[in-house]
Amino acid sequence: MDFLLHMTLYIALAPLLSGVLRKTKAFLACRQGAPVWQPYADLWKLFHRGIVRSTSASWLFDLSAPVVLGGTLVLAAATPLHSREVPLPMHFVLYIYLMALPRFFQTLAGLDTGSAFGGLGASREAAVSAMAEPALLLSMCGLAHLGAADPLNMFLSGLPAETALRHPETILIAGTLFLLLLAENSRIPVDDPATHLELTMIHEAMVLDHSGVDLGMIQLASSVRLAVFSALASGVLFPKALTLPVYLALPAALLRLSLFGVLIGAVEAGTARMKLSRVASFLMVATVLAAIALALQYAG
Amino acid sequence: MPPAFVFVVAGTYLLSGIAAPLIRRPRLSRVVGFGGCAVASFLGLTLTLVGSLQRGPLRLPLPAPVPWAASELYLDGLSAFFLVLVFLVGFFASVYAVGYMREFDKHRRGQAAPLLFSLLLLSMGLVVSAGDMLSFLLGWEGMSLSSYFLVVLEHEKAEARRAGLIYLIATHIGTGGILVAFLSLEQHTGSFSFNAFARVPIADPAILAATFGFALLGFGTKAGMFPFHIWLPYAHPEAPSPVSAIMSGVMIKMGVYGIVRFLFFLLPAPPPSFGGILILLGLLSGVFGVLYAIAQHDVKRLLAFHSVENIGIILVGIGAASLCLAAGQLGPARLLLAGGLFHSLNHALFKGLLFLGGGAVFQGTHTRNIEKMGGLMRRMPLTGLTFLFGSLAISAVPPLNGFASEFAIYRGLWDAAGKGGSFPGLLIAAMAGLALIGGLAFVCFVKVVGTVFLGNARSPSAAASRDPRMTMTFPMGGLAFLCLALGVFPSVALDPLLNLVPFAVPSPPVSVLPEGGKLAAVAAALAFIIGCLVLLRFALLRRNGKRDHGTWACGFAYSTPRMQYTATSFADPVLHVFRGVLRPRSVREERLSGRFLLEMRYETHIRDLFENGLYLPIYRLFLRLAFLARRLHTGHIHLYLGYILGTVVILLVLFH
Repeated sequence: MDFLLHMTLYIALAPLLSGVLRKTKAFLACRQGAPVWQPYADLWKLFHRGIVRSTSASWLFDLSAPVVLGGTLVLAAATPLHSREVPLPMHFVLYIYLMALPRFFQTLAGLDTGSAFGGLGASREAAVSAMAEPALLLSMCGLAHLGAADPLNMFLSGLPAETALRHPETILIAGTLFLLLLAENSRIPVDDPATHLELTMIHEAMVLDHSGVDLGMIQLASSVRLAVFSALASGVLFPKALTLPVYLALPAALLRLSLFGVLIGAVEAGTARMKLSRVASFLMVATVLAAIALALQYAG
Repeated sequence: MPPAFVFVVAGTYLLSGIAAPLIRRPRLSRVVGFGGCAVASFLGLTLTLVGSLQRGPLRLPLPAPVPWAASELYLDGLSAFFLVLVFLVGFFASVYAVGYMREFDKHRRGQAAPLLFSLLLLSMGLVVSAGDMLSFLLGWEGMSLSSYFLVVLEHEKAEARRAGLIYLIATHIGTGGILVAFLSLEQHTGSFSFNAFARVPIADPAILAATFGFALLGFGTKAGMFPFHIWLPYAHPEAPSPVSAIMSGVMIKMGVYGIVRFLFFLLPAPPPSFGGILILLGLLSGVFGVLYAIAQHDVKRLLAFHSVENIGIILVGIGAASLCLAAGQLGPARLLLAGGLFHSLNHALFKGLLFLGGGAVFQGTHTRNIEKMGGLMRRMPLTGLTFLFGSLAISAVPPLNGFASEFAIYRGLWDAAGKGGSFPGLLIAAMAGLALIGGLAFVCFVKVVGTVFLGNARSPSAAASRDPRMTMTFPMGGLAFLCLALGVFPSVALDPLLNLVPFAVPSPPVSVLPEGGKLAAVAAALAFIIGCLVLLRFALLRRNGKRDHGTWACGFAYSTPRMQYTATSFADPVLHVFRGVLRPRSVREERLSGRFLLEMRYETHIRDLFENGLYLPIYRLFLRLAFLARRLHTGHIHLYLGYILGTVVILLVLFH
């Protein structure tokens, strides 16, 4: 029952997060923009379409969309959203490494159609995620240290109540996680999901050859992934929201995700995309922030 | 295992090895030789697994090779574990070799291969079960020499001869280091036996450090540890693939065995600096190994560089275990040592699998250059599937075995670095380093699988490839199954390993990987959700329909497979970031006619920094000294007689 509620919440709220994000961007650019429920309509449409499959593709291409969505949903099952209890609690190292499974199949599917775009996107995606790995691990170490517990859901709820002021490292970790959110979810300034030139893309170039049901699954997976990162970063900022009774926790979850939608939208509207070779420095900043947060804890 | 069985296993190896060159018909010779090795390995594996259930080490005196020292086999838990490694990979590689070595049938020397192969396996068995220095060195040399001859099996190729020479020099420098380290222990005990060596009191810290240094030089060279790794990417690719699988999967673990034996069984309480040095060298091996691998396009050389990387991960585990032991943190030390050993096993399995898969690809496409491959997943489905398992395992993607052992190491590091730990900075840096290594390995294997198996064939020979015979696909399937099984149920291997750790752990024992069962839960959740989604996709596609079409190319069609993304381009973003340490050298030539560009050539190379920066100068120095010494050799007999006279006079003056 709890499992169903948790998963339904993720699947139902994730497209909304993307919708709020896009609406914010449009609003800040003085455009009207699509309605916030547009992602739902897109998914509905895609799940009713057939697919066009490249003649170059192998069985791996057929398997990729289900593995990408399935792997992301398993990650979601370990990320607390409305309560500290999650259906599938796991150690933070396992959690970080599990992120590689959907990415492995996603990048391979990009290479499977023999398209130059797919390879281009896959290569960049792999490079960005590899360089993000140390920062991700260090920030999780910092969290586990604060929460004094290993499984992900436990250390989020184990965070001390008087967080921000007494523990500046919490802010640093949340900041790191936010930078990683931008990098790992192909947001500006690392990648621009809305550009019209495939040559400059990372994620969208990689999934260029997916269509119909497959594309729907991958878009849903991307939304869930964004929601997972948002839940994580907002959980660090507002740990007490996870201990609320369920009738308050559900609106709180909705509020936290929408807040992150607005936040990411504002960042995207206000920044330009970086040159690809600068991404390494961006991720280095995240690594250093996480290291400082960790060092503060050992010092304090 | 009862002593008689040791002789049965060794005898089977020897008999099949000796029989093979004597049989005239190449096919029969191959089946008898490698088949015999497979039978012996299987027998040995079964006996070791059954025998290791009973407590207590096995001691077995050997006929003494020299009159002044007794020799014996001494099999404890650590030996039994490494024996399992030898026999397990040995079994699969032998079966594979029955099919693979067919291409050597036309050469007479193909019939020598089974003999060398069986000697290699047998001498590795001797290395890990030796109870004294002499039988250890006997096994060590047997292993080095038989593998040398296998590396130069195709001696008509200049690269093979060069690789063999580099290997021979490196391995003997290593043996020299081991010899010095052992003799230092012998000086303190007056005995050659390991039991006498055990925890020998070396009071002088300088001598202790020197002993450890020489042992590290010796065993580290064999293991392919940075900066003694340069022989490995030359030698391993030149050997036939089943031999590469043994060399990369098992033989380099003999170095790991040596380091563990020395550090945890023979040396007295090593100071924390030893562990720290091992962690640093491990991290450097890991990062440089994987970076050079990303720059490689020869599939077997690439895999060889990954062996350097994985040895790095193992050394981080072992080094951190030693560090924790010195700091009195026994619980994490136990988990770290077991994790390092577990990763040795896992690396043997997935690297064995990958080398076997690489061999199948090589026989299918007749090239080792991945830029000439492509689309093999459709033509070699079994090879492709098993290679994918191996790639997921080496990239430490759960739920495969590569992750399970790295997880154990991470947990050990994290337990030790917790509040009150002694060296949190170093241990957490090690965790971040492991994360970077893992991420880069991911890049490398997406590149390999993507370029070799996916997309369209980039050469006619790649387009004509087929899956190999059963004798070759069965070992790959078996190893892939083991990679998955140990990834889902790691405690099968990890629990026994935790018990063979040589130091007492205070009760209550620390958390023995409580997530051990969790991996199975995650695997089950993944299988369930992905299974449901596959069914959903199937149902939706039946309703909505699907059609096949050429890949979209902005309104055009791809006219040639050369328009696909290449491995070089794929690797570029990472190599660009690390260009400061890799120092790629590029050559660009243009031929102009007036203002018009007629021809352009562009090359870029990434060479091993230590090969050029460290070893080449040493080599040049020796060469210069040799040239100086050559001046003495004038060829005039009377001058040589004068040298003799001079020497005699000097000796008389010195020792009158």
